[in-house]
Amino acid sequence: MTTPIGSIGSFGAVGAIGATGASDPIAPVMVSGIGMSGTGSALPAASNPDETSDSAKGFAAQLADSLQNLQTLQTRKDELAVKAATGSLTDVHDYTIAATEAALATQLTVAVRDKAVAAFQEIMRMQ
Amino acid sequence: MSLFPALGIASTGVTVHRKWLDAVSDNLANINDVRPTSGEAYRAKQVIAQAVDYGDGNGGVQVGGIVEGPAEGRLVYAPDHVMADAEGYVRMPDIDLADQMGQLLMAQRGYQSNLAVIDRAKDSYTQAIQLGKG
Repeated sequence: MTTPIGSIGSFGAVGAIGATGASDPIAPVMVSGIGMSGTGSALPAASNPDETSDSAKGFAAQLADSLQNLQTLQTRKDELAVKAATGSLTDVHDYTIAATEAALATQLTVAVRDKAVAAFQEIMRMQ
Repeated sequence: MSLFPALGIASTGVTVHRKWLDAVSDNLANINDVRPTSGEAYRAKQVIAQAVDYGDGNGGVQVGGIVEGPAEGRLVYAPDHVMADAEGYVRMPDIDLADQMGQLLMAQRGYQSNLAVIDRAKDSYTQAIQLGKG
């Protein structure tokens, strides 16, 4: 009696180990399967905050990058303007092209900012 | 890769043609230089344009180098010149005026066409930005 119990116990243990070992790679699949097979309220509610925070972080970082880029272009334009004023500018077009680039980048950043503000106001109007 | 690549690429073209204009200007300024036959003549400068690899998104052109003409120049018989040697020769640069004028026109047109590219690119980018407005 003890040996069968022991064997059952050992089998049970082996079975449990096997189950846990197998459940590790399976577990995410099962969870996602449940989420997918669910009505869609549970998983989207769980994953949405992550996605929105990621995309919001992405947009914020992108906006910061573009502002940084704009700052760089403006600084370069200012340096070339000083060079033109002091007479150490070798290429006239260097300044004009840098000024054009800075103006275009400013327009682009303003356009993106306007779009973001418009989207925000549209969302606030939904109430 | 910059935000407005066409501007940067055309800018390199303008720079190369500006240097070409400089070289032609230098050659024409020195076309009547006179040296004694014991010295070297003015060496005509020629700008060598070289494409920048487009593979990594950095297109454009650059000055690969400046090739200088022969130091021998050409011997001109001018016995009345103060620098003339015993045989009556002086050394002058070997520059063809018509060739330099042709290069001048080509450099000017290249400069202008690159500026036209910048103008059109600016208009195009502006229109693309206007697309996001309104």
